[in-house]
Amino acid sequence: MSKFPFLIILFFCVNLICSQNNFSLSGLNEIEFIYRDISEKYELNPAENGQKYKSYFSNKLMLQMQYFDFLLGAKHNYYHPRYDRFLPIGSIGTEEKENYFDEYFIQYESDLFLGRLGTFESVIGSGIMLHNYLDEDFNIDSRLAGFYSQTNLEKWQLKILYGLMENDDDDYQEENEKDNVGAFDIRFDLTDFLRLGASYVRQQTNRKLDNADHDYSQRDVIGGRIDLQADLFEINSEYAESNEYFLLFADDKKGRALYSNAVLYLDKFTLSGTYKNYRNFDTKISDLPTVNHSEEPLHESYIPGTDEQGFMGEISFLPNFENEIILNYSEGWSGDSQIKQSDFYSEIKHDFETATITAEFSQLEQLDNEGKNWKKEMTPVITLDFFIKEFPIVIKGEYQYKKEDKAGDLESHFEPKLQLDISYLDYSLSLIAETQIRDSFDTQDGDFWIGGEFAVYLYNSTDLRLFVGQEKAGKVCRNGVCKIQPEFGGVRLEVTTCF
Amino acid sequence: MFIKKIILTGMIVILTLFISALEKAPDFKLENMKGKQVKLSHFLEEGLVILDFWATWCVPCKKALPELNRIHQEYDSVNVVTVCTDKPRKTDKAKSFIKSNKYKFKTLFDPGKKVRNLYKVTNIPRTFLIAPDGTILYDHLGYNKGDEKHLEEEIRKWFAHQTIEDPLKINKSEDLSEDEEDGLDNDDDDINDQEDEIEQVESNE
Repeated sequence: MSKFPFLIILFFCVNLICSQNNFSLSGLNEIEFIYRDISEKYELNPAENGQKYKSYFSNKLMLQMQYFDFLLGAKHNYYHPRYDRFLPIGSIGTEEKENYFDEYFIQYESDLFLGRLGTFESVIGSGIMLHNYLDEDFNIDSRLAGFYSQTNLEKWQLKILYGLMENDDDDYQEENEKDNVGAFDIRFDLTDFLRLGASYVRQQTNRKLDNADHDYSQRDVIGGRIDLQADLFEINSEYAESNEYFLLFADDKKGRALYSNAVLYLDKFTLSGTYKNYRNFDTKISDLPTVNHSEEPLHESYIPGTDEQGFMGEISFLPNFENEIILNYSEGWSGDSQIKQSDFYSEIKHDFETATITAEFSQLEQLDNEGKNWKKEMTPVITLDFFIKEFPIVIKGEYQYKKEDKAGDLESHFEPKLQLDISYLDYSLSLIAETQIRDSFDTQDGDFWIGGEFAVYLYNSTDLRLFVGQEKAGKVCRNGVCKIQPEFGGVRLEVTTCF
Repeated sequence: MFIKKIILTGMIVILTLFISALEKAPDFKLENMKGKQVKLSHFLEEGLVILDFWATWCVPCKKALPELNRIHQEYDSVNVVTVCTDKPRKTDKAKSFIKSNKYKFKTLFDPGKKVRNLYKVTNIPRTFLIAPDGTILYDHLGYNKGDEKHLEEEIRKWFAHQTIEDPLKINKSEDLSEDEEDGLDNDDDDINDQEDEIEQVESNE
């Protein structure tokens, strides 16, 4: 445990010593201290000794050293114990300390070439073919450990990569066994307005089996894309076809994914249209566009890519610099039309001399005929940004209405929310109060959340955020910064230092 | 155990406060709206650069963009370069957002989080003001109405500290399209132009 302060002191010294022009050392340190309410309110089981709160600590240190065109990096994580935001309700997590290197790499980059050995994130096209990345907000880690190369010529771009990926399928995989992923992508700029791309991806999932012909399953994906760009319009389309074989308890499987988008710019109007069509397309290393404004899957229990189609249209109108109007509508459905979704979003914004008012309305509706489940969410929001003397203030009012029919059992509730943000120089304070009324269908009946965050930016390098109170799960924008949070009660201190 | 964690947190917080802030902006290369690779150093040759990290889902980020666009248009020797950190599946949306709002600043795309990690950006919006020699003059996290005034103060401070009284009237390209189409091969010409202008200002003085 004591090696963290030691590491920081060491690199502080190295930072002082290393004054060569071509050498630079930089880093990031993130501390998080959590004192969490584990009472029954959060459906957690207090410890046997009657403990009502539990403390968590974590420190993440990332260091990067640059020498000419070379970059060397490492990231170390320490948890005591880990605060797992994605644990199911009723769990309070482990008591164990964790201490490991999360990332390490060496990279060379010149004008024409980029090569990297070690941990990397990668993307091909819009992410349909391949997107390996880390997203802590959604508990996604599909990063690869291996090599990545990218060559950029005047009209060509070539990507080749190979790496190993963690697999959490413990039932059928040996401990520490990893998936293999290899990919090849080429892009050619035919003219300044037309670009073409083609790619191939191979993914192998190793597994333990006593009586099977193959101790791995394989997925091959081949795809192409076209991108047309002019001043007045843009069109891009991507198509991928997958073949999965040597599957564990199933026959070989073919899949496909098509995503197309067109935008037309007509002076003050912008019109856009998007279409999706996915079938049997695995999303472990792919990131399929949801094609709706709310960024929601077809249904909460529906696995993206299984069998879905949909479209989205948007009109944006900017009559002048002071006003903006956006209308967005989308529909999605499964191949057998048993699952349907519609999403509507509208926004009107008006700028006064020293204030801005924004009114938004969204309506999301999801229907599952098989599960006899129907859900509707309507959310009107009004946000006002203004000044009192030199203090910028944001007041936001939201009044969400949710209605759900679970196999004939109709239930509904309202969720009003009020937010006040105020800041002065580098100091900010944000207060949010939210409640549920007329609730009749879940365990959070009549819940009330109130919490405040104080934020300060110190020495041009350190961001300190202290939260006290309760917070509802979801996307929260406080003190000018947005994050996805799980439901929380207690105290949370976050200190992020960049150096 | 609880006290131990408090002490450990306090120790690391105090230590990190003594570590100097990121001083030099690392150079990088990213794709612009037209899919061409563009380097930060190219923009720095034209003067100050405001580097801003944003995403389409981030409301405060989008509130900051009209102000950044105003600064980009008002100051001759200041280039605003925004880095879109959206996931690749939302790049289309980001492009149409920029084009429909008719923003004149430069927009680059970082779907692989290459530059975001290089600049250690954990939260957005994050804004850096970078001097032509790569020195980071200002670093700000978040956006609240009025934050742009502090940014403009820093810009004026920097000009005031320059030996040349009037900010260099280096005309930044209204639209980088020509440079982009040429693959930015005219870097040497730009530097020569700047040197000529400096000489001219000095001889006038």
